Amino acid sequence: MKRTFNHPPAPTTGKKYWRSLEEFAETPEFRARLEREFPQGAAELEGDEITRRGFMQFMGASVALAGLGLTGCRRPEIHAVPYSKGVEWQVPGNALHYATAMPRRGGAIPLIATTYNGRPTKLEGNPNVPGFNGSTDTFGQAAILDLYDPDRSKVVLKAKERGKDYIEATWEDFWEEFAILRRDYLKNGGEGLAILAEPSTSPTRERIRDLIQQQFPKIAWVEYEPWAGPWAGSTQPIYNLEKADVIVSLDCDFLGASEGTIQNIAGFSAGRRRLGKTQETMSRLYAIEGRFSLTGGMADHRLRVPSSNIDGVVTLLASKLGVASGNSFTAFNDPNIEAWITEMAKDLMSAKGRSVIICGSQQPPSVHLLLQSINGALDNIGKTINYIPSVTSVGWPLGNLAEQISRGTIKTLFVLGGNPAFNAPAEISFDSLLAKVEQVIRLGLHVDETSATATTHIPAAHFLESWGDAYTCGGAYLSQQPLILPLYNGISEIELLAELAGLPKAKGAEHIQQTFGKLTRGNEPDLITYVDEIEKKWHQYVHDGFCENARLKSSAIAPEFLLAKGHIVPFKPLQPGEYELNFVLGNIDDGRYANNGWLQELPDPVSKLTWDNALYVSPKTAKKLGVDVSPPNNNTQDLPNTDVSPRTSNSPVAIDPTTAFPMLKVTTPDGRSMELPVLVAPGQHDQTLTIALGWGRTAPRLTEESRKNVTAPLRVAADAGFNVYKLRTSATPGFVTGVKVEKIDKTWPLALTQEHNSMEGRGLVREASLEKYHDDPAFVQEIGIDKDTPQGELKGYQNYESGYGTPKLNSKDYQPDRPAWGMVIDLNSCVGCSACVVACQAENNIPIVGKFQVIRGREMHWIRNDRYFASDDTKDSSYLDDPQMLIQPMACQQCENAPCEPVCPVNATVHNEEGLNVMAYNRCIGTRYCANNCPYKVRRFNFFNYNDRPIQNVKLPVLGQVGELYLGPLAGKDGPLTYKGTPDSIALQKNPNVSIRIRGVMEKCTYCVQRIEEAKIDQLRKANGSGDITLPTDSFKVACQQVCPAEAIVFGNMNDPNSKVSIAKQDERGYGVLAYLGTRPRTSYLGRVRNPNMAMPGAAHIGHTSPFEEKSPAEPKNGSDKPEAATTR
Amino acid sequence: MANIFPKATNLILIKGLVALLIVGGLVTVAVWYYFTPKYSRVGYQPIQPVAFDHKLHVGQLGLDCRYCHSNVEVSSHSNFPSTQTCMNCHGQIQATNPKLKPVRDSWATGQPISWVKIHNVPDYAYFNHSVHVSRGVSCVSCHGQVNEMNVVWHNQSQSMAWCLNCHRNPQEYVRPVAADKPGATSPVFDLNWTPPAGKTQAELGKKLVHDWKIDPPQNCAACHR
Repeated sequence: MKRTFNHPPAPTTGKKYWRSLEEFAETPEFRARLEREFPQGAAELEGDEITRRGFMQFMGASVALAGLGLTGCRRPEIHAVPYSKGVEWQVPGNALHYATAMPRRGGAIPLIATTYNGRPTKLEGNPNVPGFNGSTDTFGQAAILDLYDPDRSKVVLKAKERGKDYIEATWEDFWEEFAILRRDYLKNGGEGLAILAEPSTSPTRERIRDLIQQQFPKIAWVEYEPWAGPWAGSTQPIYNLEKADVIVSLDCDFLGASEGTIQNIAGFSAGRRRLGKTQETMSRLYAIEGRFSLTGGMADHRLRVPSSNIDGVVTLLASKLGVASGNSFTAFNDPNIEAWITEMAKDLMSAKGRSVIICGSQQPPSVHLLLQSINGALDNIGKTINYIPSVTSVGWPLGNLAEQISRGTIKTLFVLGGNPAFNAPAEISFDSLLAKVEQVIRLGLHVDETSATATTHIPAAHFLESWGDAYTCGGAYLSQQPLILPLYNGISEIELLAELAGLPKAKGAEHIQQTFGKLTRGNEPDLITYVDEIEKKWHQYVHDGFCENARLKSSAIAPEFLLAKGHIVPFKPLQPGEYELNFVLGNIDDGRYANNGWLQELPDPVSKLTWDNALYVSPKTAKKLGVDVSPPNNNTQDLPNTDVSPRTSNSPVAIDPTTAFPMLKVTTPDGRSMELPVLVAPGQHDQTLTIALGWGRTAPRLTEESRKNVTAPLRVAADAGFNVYKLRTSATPGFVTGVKVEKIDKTWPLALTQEHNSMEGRGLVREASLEKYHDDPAFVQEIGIDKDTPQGELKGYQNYESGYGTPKLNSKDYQPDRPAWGMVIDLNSCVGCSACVVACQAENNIPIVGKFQVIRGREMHWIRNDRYFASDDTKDSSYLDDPQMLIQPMACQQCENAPCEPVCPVNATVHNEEGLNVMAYNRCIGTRYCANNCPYKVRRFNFFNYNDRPIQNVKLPVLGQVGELYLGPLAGKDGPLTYKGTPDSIALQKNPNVSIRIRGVMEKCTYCVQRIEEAKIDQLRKANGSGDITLPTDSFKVACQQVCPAEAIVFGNMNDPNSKVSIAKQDERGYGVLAYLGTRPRTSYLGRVRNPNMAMPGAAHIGHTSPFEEKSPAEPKNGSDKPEAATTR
Repeated sequence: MANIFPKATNLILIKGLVALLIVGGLVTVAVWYYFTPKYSRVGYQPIQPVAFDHKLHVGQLGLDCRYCHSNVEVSSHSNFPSTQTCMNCHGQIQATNPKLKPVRDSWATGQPISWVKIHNVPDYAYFNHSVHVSRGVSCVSCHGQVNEMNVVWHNQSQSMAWCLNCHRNPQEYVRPVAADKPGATSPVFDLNWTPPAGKTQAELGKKLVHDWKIDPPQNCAACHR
């Protein structure tokens, strides 16, 4: 019998949850777009160069040729090539795991690398290092792709003409030249020699640096980092967020892009997870910021204040808490701010010793100092805050080097890593300065902007190809061991510096061993002697990935200078009508990961923007500037047909009106200006304009001949986004005030994923305030039409025989002693960092598709993070301006009554006995019925052979030019990869346990079935001749679960009562998305709980209502009317 | 009386017969090829770079399968032996035999021997040797009596239907993993093993399937991921 589901009507009261401004406004265009399975053009061939008739001719010819040659009748002879000599530990087919570390700005992260036959394929966190939960972040996950980047520099290059013409040189040539250079500089003590490096946390580099400075006393050692924190070279605080009850974030995206993100998320989510487990309360987060960050999304209270006024907030807070004296304080224009901060200060006072205030690293040092004294006054030091000596090295600032260069005293400059020609402060114009230096030797992973200013470029080794050591930002001492010999003959920074210091050439880890010996045996001056004890310790260190004995000791006592009172900050409030430009970091960090396709295609966690950066403005400001959401022109032509960036193309490119975004010209007070595309960002402060740094990389424009030597540089990064370093000066690294903006008559295509695969608001995300949760812990059941649906139908996994009669899957075969896989995602812990998206991509061989394919809605991510804004359901724009944010990871729900299965004509997607909705790729014929029938929109279709197809136009003998259907990131750009699909090096990254899907195949999340099968096989192998086949409890993790720093994703066997997932499934906050359809999803969610302070202004609106709630919505009366006793924490 | 059928119809019968012949011929050829072991590669017996004789090494000298295919119990792949394994014996035995020249060359140069693969599982199917041999499926079930082959050939069809046949009826194939008596080879690796006197495979298999809780997966994800 056909069941008709009457979806609940649109709510008339209560809170509204929306994913985009179009959805909020409910424009007819948006409705029409939603009705479609894929966006316009995604499922059609229209506009492509091949016509239907041409396609038939082409296919006919291929078939005829295939028949003539009878190639299909012959089997190719396949060879098996064993090792000639066995390799230690190596078992073909089995993975080996090694501990290593990823050096990062502000502190390394510990990793376990998986290798197959000597090729690393996946990185995971090292669970033995405390503080990391065995997790990683997006950068850690994507690093494996950087290793295999085909655009990495491969040879030593010597300039015939800088920036234009380079010839290939040999390493022997280089070392010969290097020896002469070294000999000459030894004579004059290094006068005229300079080294520009990135700050590092490696003790070995510090040790070699000392040796170099002894030999070359006059050397200029400069260190530059575009996003340096305030603590370099001093003492830095470490926060124990899990111990804090009240957390205040001041312009600090400590859950998104900052130093120590993983530890922060782990600590913060532990504080949220207390709820219902150990305590009836959880921590409370206040966020004060100008743009909407992930931290702001997690906040219980969020106040919009421009970054440039954070100093005022801190001063005000200090005066409320009695830390600062004196009244040199100019009040804020908005009285609401003072009321807000007063209540927050009261809350902080009541949580003395259990609170912490964190400040963004780009705020001026004076703000940081004042904040430390506030933390001191709140008795937090030694409790929620400890101090360690700064792990980051310091050198001369870049400004000093620039001055020396312009005076002409620098003759030879080594640029080690980094990319100063791209990201140096704008006022230095460093790239032109470098041209004044006689000899610039660049060690770099890519031939990039800085290489274009160099006289010699030498390829650097990736961190997975070299020995090293590093501190984490919490002070743990990590080992970094190579997983593979350098793919492209690169050398590491340490090797080059050791050569300069005249140390003997290392065969392996000698330089690191020496440092290790010193650190573990105390500062003995003699070289390491291979006594057994040290060797044993060393092996243990490399094996474990860290050495507890060599950890930097943290102190519970703050240095005097931090707590000295009287760091009053002069405060100049932003005047009405004045704009500030706020620089932030996005998915490609400071630009160093720009050539990583996974990160470029990863949607920004908040704006859902891919492949670009854009200027975020608030809806109100957009309206004022005339750049609000309505399409700027009536251009109805289809998408551009070639992957030509509008920047480089001569003719105006036709752009889908829904993806053409208006542009603004931004001019800073010192006269620098840029034209930038605008994205309307709800929750943004009206006077704050935000843009992410790092985009807008350009490959050097080389001559035809030298391009042959330089392998197609930066094909992924080039032309993605805009380089706003050009607007950033050293005086204003975080924000610049007094910015002028004007609308210009240009548009720019942006690829947003926020509306793709929308499920429309049907109680998908559910939240409540802590108060409501205490009243009714099962509040999620009251939301949506779940309350009208029988419980057995909602919780199918508990009662297999119940539910709808058809189709009754597996009921006959179902055996309780088989595992039943299930997943629980805790919306209260998930911060939306998107590490799961990249982890899934790395584990499951998911391809990237390119900007214009994303515009067509063809992105392939198996797990997406739906971002919902929540505001009271009113068209009153004051709530539109200041909404709350919720993030919901959404992958295949593994429905027990999966709607995708009955519609598949070839049984390619079926259920297995363990409750997985499995996908047999080789059976799929690509009808896409399943995707059409999936209510969760989690199936992805390979419109093209993204993994292996010609990436440039193909010329065939008879048919001539055959159009390029794949407009991916590597298409249509020059390079040696003509007529070849995936570059060989990229193929090395693929997980051998997952099929590579070809064109025309549907794919989706399978709960990492390869990991499930591997675990089962392991147990069966152990069982051998016995019946002991039951899997141990929680013996393995799926990829998204393993990477999650917040431990928000729990996966396991629901038939095992002791498994984490079984326990999580008992939680009263659990609900299934769209469960009323009777799909019985195996993935369920735990509703989010917000912890508002009821004394705060606007507290009644927070986490209080959800859609389709019948109970009368919360009185929108002012929260301050409520009695103080209502405060719960 | 005028002709009912125009002249052109005279040829219809012939045309029809010719068409039938062609179609019939194609069907015959298709059945001939695709429905016979040829399609499933049974009998494929390529010439190897070294004329390794399994009958001599296993059948007569009594080498265990795992001496060369050493990873079969721990890995999804049953490895081809490295040159080093060959040289363990042939460093001394038959050290100058010209038939072994490729082995010695490989040992000297480090260039591996390029064996011709006989059994080939498609890339989209994930077969695991270790779980089969540790749960009582003998080498002989999939590879035939290799101990009696001078030159190894493809013995079983190894099609999906063939896989499922065993996964549906495991009792017909599973063997004990422990040797019958001390010092004997495990029945899994003893290609000449037969059930002990007085027992049939059916009885034995049924008991093993019950005791070991053997329940071979029959869903897609077991092999296709």
